[in-house]
Amino acid sequence: MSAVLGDLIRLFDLFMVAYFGVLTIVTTAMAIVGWRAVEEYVRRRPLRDYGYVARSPLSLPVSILVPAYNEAPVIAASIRALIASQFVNLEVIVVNDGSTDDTMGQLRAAFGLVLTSRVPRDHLPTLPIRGIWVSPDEPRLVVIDKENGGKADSLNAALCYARYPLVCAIDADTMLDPAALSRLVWEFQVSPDTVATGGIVRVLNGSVVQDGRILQVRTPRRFIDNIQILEYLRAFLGARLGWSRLGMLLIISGAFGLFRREVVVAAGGYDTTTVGEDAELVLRLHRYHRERGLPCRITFFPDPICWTEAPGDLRTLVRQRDRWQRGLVEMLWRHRDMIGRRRFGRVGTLALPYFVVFELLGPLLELLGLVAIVATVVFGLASTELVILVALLSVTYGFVLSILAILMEERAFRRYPGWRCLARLLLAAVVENLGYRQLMMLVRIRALLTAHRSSGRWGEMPRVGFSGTLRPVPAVTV
Amino acid sequence: MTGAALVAALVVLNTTVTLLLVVMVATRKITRDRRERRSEQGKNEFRNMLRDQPADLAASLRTVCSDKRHQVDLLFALREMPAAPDADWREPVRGAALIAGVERALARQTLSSDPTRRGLAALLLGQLTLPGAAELIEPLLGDDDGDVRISAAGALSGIADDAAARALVAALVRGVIAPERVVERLAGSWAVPTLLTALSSTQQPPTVRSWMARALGLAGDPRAEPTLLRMLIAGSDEERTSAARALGRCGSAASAAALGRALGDRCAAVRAQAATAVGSLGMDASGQALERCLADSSWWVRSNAATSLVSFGEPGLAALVRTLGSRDPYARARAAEALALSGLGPTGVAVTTGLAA
Repeated sequence: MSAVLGDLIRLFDLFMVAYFGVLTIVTTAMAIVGWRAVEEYVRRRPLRDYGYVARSPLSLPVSILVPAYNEAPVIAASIRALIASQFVNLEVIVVNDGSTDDTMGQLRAAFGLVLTSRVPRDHLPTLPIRGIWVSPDEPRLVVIDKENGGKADSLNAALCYARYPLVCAIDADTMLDPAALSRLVWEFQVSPDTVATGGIVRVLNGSVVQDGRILQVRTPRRFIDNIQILEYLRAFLGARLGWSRLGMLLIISGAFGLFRREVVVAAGGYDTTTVGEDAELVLRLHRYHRERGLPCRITFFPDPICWTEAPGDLRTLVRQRDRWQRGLVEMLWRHRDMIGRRRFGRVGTLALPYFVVFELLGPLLELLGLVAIVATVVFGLASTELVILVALLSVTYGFVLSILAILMEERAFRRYPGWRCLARLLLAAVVENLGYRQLMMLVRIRALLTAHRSSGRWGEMPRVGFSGTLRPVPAVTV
Repeated sequence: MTGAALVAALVVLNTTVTLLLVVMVATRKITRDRRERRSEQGKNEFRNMLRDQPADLAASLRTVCSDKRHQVDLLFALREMPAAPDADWREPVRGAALIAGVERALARQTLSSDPTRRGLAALLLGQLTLPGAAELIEPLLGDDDGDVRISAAGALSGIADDAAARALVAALVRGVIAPERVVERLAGSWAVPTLLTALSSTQQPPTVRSWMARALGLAGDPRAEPTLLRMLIAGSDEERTSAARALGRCGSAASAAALGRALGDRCAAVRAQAATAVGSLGMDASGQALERCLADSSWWVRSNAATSLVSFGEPGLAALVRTLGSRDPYARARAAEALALSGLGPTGVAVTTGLAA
């Protein structure tokens, strides 16, 4: 084997050691910051009277924006649950985005909708609106029927008709915890310079639900679901909390975020040409404020919860993760001029470079690292024992992060109270290393390499529906 | 150390940390289960004590002086008791708390370096309505910590006396805390005399005065009507807007003329609030003026006017139906929506059918 090739492999090995070293340090730091944030939250919880926020006529009112495409099985229950939210000052704006199923029919039947007309408060470009509907039975509900234009287009339409200063963008298939809005609004009322706040998204699969309300939280039986629960816990409680505390939060989940309406409109609304419109908006808000020298507090708060149905089959899961990675590619590409720029503060100099190197390129580098390891063994540059140890190092560090997330969950929130739930999550931490992580790595690499061919469309996820997820139960008074 | 040895050491470290974390998860679960049971027990004990007021109540409250967990349990239990300042349970509990030294302990705690302890002290002082509590809590309205400020405002509203009202009004004037957080806590009859006294002085800026008017409106006390009327007639745009809004909640026939004139105010916000106010007060004599508001340049005025006309019953509905033939598309739209939302059967159906066509 040529000496040059051997040197190249060794050099790459050293690079990978440094890469994983930095990644470990940053990840550990974020986990520690996140842990401290959770501890502080637990201490502060007794001070916060969220019930008062929900009841007070002077709480900041919220417009909930719900884009809906082919959500017929779940839409009526979902909207009823939103309207029944324990928050007095809200309106719900559903956007039927040219559904080809009976979404609009379900809404009309459930709420007795009547056609009306309204003058929009702002003018963001959207595809044509076919009609605005209101409900005599539920004055807080507005339904916008429009031509199909995608999620971002729907959200922009809703923004134009929203009446209230705060807007909460959620997915039609998500369920908000009863006190979720109060908890998010609290953040805006305590810190008036808050521009946007995200809550935590949790996996609904396996839980007991009736009439759009969760009766009992449980972990599901299948590994694929439990692994996703674990991923969400790691991502939200570990990483996102840390980034938020350091003022570098780049992503608020599209499934659940609260924004100041006027700021979103001033920044141009949601970008309709990307599949990652939620992340792109947050980054644009950072840019908008920093370019104008305005304070910009964008945070994540782990207690307000929205529940969502996670993909239950590999095909849908792969499509979802592909979309997420494409969204990341598009977001970073569009705002590439922010990367490394001091003008954009820590977001430009720290967060964005991190995301480029470790989130965007990370899966590719991980694969190259694996190839390098194999080459190292094949060419006798290192012992098999060392290679195995390196693999074990990666896996055991993954265990540390997963179990730390479970510990934070147990410490502060305890949404999975049973021993069986805990055992399933701990087992998932082991099982995910047996092919799941590797598959996700390949999915993300494929998305990275083919992002330039992105169609900008979401695709469909088969809906089970809330009452169908779970075993049927008789009506229960909770 | 060779590379392999270093990596092996790191693997061992990770594995050890993993096992430790697993043990922590399990023990955390056990201890949290136990702690939650104890906390629920503690809350139940305090609930029973507050209700039954046994002879050793003072001794039981002594644990609250230093133990934060007991403070939290007591706070939860107090929140479930009847909130009226003159409720029967208050006097004996207050007496027991004084004997137990709770007031001194909480007074010291308001100076703690830990914001959660300061906030907790404020909330307990407020819930227990201990003597001098308002004076102890007032400085916390300007605390560095947002949660403490809001807790202090909440605590003062629980005390609900003149001293608490003066503290909140002073905070509103100084602007140390978001005005909404003060006003929502001043929304009670107990605060009306202090607010009226503050408004009798013209030294505050219009913004502050408009917030005070807002508080008077939320209180819904008729004693505020004369002051609000004067504000509606002679105040700044902000003051007139707040006054019109407030009169919708505490006004009477005496305000009819002024509110009717306010429907033609130069400021859209005033017109909008006046439109709602005349509807709330059932002032159907203003029906014609409201009908003209359906063609107002402001969507907000049009919307509020339509809603108020619906509340007038037949005369209002007739006005809305007439407006369906208006040349102004915005007026037609608001009238149509109000009729449709009124759910009054054939009229609504006919309207929506016409609109859809």
